[in-house]
Amino acid sequence: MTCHKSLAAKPFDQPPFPPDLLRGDVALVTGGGSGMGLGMARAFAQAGAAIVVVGRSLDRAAGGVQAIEAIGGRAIAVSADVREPTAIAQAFDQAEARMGPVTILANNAGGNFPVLADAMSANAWRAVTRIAIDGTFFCSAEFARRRIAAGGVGAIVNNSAQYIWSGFPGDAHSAAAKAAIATMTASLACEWKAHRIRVNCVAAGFFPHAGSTEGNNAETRRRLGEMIPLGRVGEMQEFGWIAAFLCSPFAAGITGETLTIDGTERLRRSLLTGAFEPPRQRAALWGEMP
Amino acid sequence: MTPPVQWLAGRRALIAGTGAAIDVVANALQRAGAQVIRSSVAADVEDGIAEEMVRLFDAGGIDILVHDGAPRVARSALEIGVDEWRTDVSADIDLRFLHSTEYARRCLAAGQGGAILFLMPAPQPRTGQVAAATVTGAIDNLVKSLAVEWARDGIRVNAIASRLCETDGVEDEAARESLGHLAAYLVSDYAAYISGTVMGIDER
Repeated sequence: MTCHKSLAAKPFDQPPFPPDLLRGDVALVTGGGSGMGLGMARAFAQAGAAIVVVGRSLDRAAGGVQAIEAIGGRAIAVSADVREPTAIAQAFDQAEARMGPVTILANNAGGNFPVLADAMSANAWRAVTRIAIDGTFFCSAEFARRRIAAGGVGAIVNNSAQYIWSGFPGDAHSAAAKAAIATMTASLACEWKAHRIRVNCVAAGFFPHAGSTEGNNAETRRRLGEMIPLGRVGEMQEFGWIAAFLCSPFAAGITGETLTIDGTERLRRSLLTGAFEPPRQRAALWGEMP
Repeated sequence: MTPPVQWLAGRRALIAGTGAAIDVVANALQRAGAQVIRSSVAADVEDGIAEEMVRLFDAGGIDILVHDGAPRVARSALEIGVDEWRTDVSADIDLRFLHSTEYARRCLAAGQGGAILFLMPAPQPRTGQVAAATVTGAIDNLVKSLAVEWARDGIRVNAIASRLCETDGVEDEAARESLGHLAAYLVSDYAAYISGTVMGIDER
C-alpha cells in the first residue's frame, strides 16, 4: 500500500527540484537575511541560483549569506532601503557587478505590528505600507527595466499573506499593503508579458521562524498548529519551494497569479461562534495564544 | 525545458470527468511517476461511482483524485434550455461532489489521507458562458468547504481554474505545460501545506 496519510512537511534536504534547475540564474531577495526572505533565498540556492541578499541592515543580510553558504550556495550581501529608488538602483548595480545580471527578483521586505487603526500614527502606516507597496513596485520596475534592456525574460515572486482575503483588526496597514501587492502582481504581469517577465505572488499563512515570537520553540509551534485546520504551522522550506517553483521553468506559462499556502487557516470559521470582542477591548489585539 | 521529476513516484491517481485539460494533467502526473487510472464511469452519469471507488480501493488504493467535471456547451443565458442547464451545471457540480465524497469515504475507511484536484473554468465571466461561470463559483466554495471538513483527515482539496480547462481553451504550449506541472506539484507531498486554494495559470 503506497497511500499516504501524513501531511508532514518534506524535509529541507529532500527538495522537489534538481540542484541545477536554476543554474545560471541570479536571484535578488529583499529582506533576504532572515525569516521568509531567507526561506526563499535558501530554496533558490538549493536549486542552483546565485543569491543577492538585500537588507537595510548589512549585518543581517550578511547573516543570510552565511546561512546560504552553509548549504553550499553562493551569495553576497547588499544594503539598501527598498523605499528609495536610487538606493535600489545602486543595489542592483552592485549586485550585477559582482554576480552578473539579476534574473529572479523576490520582493519580500516587509514589517508588521498590531495597532488599532484609530491609534495608528501616520509614521506607522507609512512604515508598513511604503516598504511593502513602494518597495515591491520600485524593485520590480528596476528589475524589469534591466531585463527589458537585456532582451527580456525574468521572473518575480512577491511575498503576500493569506489575510489579504479578509483583513483583520489591528492590521489595517499590513492587510492593505499585502493585498495591494497581489493586485499589483496581476497588473505588472500584464504589462511585462510581452517581455517574457513573469510576475507571481504567494499568499502565505503561519511560517514561524527565528525572527518571529518564539518561532523556534517547538511547544509554541505545536500550539499555533492546533488553531490551523491542517493541524500544524508551515515549514519554511514549503514556502521557499513554492516560490522557487513559480520562478522556475516549471511555471514558464504561469503569470499574474497568487497562490495561497496556509494549511486552510483563512477558511477556519463557523456560522456560529463565540461572542465578538471589540478589538479596542482586547487584551491582545491579534488574539490570545491558543 | 524542465528536468524530469518523480514527485508522485509510487502514487496511484484516478482521473475522472472530461474536459479540455484532463489529458494534459493525466500525462503530467504519469511523467511525475504516478500510476494513472482513468475512471470507467461515464462523464455524464452518476451510476457506478461508488462501486468503482470500492473496487479501486480493494485493488491497492487511490492516492490522488483529479476531476474535470462534465461536458459543457457554450450558450447564452436566454438560449440555454432546462435540459442543457441540468447537463452543464447540475451534472458538473453533482459529479464532482459525488466523486470526491465517495473518494473521501474510502480514504477515511482505509485510514489514509489523499489529495483532490478539480480542474475548472477560469473565474472571469464571459458572454455565452453562464454555465461555466456558475460552476466556477460553486466549485470554488466546494473546494474551500471540503478542504476544511477533511483537513484533519489528511485529505487536501485544491482547484486549478483556467481558460485552459475550457473546451475552447487557447493554444499556448507554455501555459499547457505549466498546467501539468502545477497539477503534479499540488497533488504531491511537496504541497502538503496547500489546501483549500484555487489557482490560475495565466488568466489575464
